[in-house]
Amino acid sequence: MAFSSAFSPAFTGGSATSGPVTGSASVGLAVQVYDATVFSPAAGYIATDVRIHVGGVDVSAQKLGSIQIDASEDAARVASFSLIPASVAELQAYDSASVTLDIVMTRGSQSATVRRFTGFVERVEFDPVNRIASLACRDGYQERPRAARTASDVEALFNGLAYPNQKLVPWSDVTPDPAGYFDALRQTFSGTTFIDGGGLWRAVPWNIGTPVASWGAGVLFDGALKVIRPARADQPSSVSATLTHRLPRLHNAEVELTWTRPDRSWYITKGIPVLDMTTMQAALSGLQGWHIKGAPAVVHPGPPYSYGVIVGGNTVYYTISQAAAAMTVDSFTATAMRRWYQQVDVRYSIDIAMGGSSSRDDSVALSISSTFDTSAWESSAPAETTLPLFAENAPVGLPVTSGYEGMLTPWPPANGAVDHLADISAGDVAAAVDHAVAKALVKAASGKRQQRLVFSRPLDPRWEIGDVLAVSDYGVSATGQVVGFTESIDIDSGEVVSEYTLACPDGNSTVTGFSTSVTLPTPSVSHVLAAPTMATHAGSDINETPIWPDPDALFGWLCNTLPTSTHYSASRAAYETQLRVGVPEVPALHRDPLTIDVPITAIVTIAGSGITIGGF
Amino acid sequence: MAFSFGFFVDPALTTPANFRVAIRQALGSATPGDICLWFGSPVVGSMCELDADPGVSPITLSVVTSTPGSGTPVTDIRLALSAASLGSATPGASLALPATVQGGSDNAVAIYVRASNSLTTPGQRDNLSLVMPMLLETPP
Repeated sequence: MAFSSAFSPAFTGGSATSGPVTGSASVGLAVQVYDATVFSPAAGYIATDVRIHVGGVDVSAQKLGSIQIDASEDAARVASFSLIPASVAELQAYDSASVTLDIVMTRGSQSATVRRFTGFVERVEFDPVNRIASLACRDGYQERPRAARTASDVEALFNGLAYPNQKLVPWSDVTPDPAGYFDALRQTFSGTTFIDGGGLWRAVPWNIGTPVASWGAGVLFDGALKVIRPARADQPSSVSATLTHRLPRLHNAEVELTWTRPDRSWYITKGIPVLDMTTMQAALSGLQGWHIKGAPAVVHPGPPYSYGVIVGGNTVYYTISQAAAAMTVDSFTATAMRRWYQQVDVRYSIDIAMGGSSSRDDSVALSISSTFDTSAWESSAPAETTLPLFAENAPVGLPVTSGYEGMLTPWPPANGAVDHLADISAGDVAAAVDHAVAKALVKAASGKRQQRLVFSRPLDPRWEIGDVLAVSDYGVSATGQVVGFTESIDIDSGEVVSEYTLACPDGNSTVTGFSTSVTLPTPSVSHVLAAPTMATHAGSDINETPIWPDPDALFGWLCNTLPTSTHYSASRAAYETQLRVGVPEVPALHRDPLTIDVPITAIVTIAGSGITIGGF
Repeated sequence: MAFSFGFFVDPALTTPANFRVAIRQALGSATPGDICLWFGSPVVGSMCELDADPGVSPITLSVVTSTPGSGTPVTDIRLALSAASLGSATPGASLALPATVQGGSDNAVAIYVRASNSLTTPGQRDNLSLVMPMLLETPP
């Protein structure tokens, strides 16, 4: 028989031109109606055959030896068989050709045809002595995710059951890595992905409900039932999930700064200078790390600009011009404010109890971070937004200002703090928590699902990965989910066997899943800071006490008595004239990095009812 | 350039359906067998239209049988562009696709196929095909 040109994977029609081409597209259907009674354990013979198509051509008549199909969770299905090629052209056409395997079982008028493999030829080994070609085939499991072009393409491979999170597992349109993205999402999918016998991608959750088939005694091969307990390493005492969210806690503290002139007699008897506006403003604007909220409230000497003061029992008049009064400070009140950020790590965590004794650390630790320019936020407000515009008679209707207008938002409450999520929303945190818990659940469920039941029975190709089956024989009863199977059909000997592996975890539900809730912490911060009292200190003065003042307590208007004054003392400390303003320190509690632990409230279920072993 | 549009068994257009696509059903079961195929081309930038009326008339997909009167009747097959529409699709009716289908997996057209077995005997029947009329492909 000449090998058909239909082995070509190209579609029909077309011509070798660079312009428009015409062609047709069609696809054949194989409607397979199977009779389940074929698989009943009733006595009688069953004829089994395998229909093999390579490149769309039926090569069933050329098969020989053993045919094997292996399938397992999250892996490519593989098949191997041997053919006697009719020609060199046919042998060469096997390379990368599409392959379908249909198992055909008949018993009298009963029959069942089940497609068990759809894939392509991976490797051909030709034995020239016996003229036999051995074909190793696999399905396109690895290629499927790699061919995805967008994040949503990959996410669709999980039927919406994975937990994508762009903060934790970002997708890049510039340098897409669909395979990596698929692997990352698979770690959050409590289920399995595979390509079924018909070539269709499937995503099946790890749910173990009502079995689609149950077998009692007498339908399994003798001695072909095996119970596999989870390895110690698969059963840690718990699986923990931790999501750390790093964010800035924004603090705001305010302190009142007040100063009031001394008795006016000091200006006469001691000859000290008055505090002028320029000195005051320079002092207030020079506070390191602090800003003046709004504008200070200044009281200037008012009319009549001549004030009687008692000096030595006599009334003496201290006089100041109106122009000088406007530049002279009698008293002022200002609110100094400081804003700073504190690095906060909020750790959301949960432990999923596994009941095992292994000390293996099987934890999930993820982190997200709020992106925020804290440096710019802390910096001082631009002058044009803080300086008052109007001294008198401001336009009616101007909004009342808070004094924060020149500062970047957010504005924490006075003497309080806010946790600034910035580009991370509360929903993002909840989604990231779900992602972390999903990963932990997959680890936990995977460990428990290592409890397995393996059995063999006469060929029964009806069941797929993810199907739920029940077995009760040899004193062992279990309901589990198919995680793998091997089917062997020996054309020469007639031996046909299905070996199924069921996951039978000791679970607590029929569904593997979770629901979580977290409450974001809200800062309970109340700053009570106070600035040192500001007074007037006259240096070189006989009355200045103490004689040797404590530099750390010298705040206020520092000036000196005139040498011509009777209060003058050359032996007393003289000051550098200045308005010395003191501001308090920020306590370490509100300054150093902080870690807050927040438990995740969750309901976690793992499907399964375990394996019951009796007969002892 | 070869004609690149065709049917695939995956939306990423990695596995061409150049074999008979199986639809499985249990005998006597009222549960129909559903599958999904994708029509498109892996050649990004290419464009497919109906050769007889490019860009105007929709591309139609029909169910045909090679053995009229025997095998699975065409009325056992329903076609739809969404899984939800399968139930209301007319048995055996052709399906209208867009007048223009662009190449690339992003533009693949999902075609849902439902087989509702009306026969009372088991077996595999290969008499049905999904066929399109002559198409025109414009390369990128």
